[in-house]
Amino acid sequence: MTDGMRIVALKFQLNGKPVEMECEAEETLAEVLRNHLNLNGTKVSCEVQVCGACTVLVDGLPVSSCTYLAYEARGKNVATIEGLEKPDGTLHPLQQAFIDDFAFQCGFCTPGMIMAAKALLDENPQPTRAEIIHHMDGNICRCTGYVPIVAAVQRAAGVMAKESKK
Amino acid sequence: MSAEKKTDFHVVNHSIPRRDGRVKVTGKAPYVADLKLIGMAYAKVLRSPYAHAKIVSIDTLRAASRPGVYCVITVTR
Repeated sequence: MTDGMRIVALKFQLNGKPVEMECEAEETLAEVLRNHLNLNGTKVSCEVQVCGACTVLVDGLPVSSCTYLAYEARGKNVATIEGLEKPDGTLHPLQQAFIDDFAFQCGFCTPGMIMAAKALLDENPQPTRAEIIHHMDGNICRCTGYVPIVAAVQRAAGVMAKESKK
Repeated sequence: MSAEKKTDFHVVNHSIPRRDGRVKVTGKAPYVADLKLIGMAYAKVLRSPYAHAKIVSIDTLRAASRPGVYCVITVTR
C-alpha cells in the first residue's frame, strides 16, 4: 500500500455476460475494457470526455468510458461495440447502415458513434434529423464525415422500424 | 458519346462496399494504440504544474529507482 494503490472487486454484466474481476480503484471503464478484458473496440482519444470515441452504454445510457470509473459500473449492464454483432455474424442495423452510407473514413470514432446512436434509437426509434444531430453532439469525427453519419442513423432507424413490424 | 448501360461497367456506376467496412463497424480494426507487444515499455511525460516558471533542477532519483522503471529522460543543457 506504499503508493496508495487499492484493488477492488468488480462484478458487472458485459454484453449480456457476467464479468467478475479485480481492478485498481482508480482505473477507468475504458482501461478495464481495453487492458484487462482485451476489448479494443472501445477507442480512447481525448481522455477528457469531449470526443465521444470511448462511448459505451451503461444501463442503456451513453457514457464516456475514459472518465467513468470502472468501479461505478459494478452491478450494472455495460454494452460495447463488440456486443452488437449477432453470434451468426449478422450486423446490427446501425453497423450495416454505417457501411451502406460510407459513414466513416478512418473509423476511429465509429464504435463510439454507433453506441451513441444505439442509445438514441433504443429510446427514440424514429428521431428527427435535428434530434439525431443534437443527440450525437458529444461525438466528434476528425475526418468530418457528419453528413453520412446522420444519414446512416436515419437509415438504421428505418430498417429497425421495418424489422419490428415483422 | 452513347449512354452506356449500368451493367457495362464493373466499377463505375456501382456502389462498392468498403473492404475495411466490417472490421471498422465491429470494433475489430486494429489501430496503433491497440497494439500490445511482448516487453513493451510505456512512456509518460511529466509536465510542470506551473504555467509560467523556470525549471531550475530536476531530481529523477526517486522516479528512476521505482520498480519497473527503465529510465527517466530529461532535457540536459
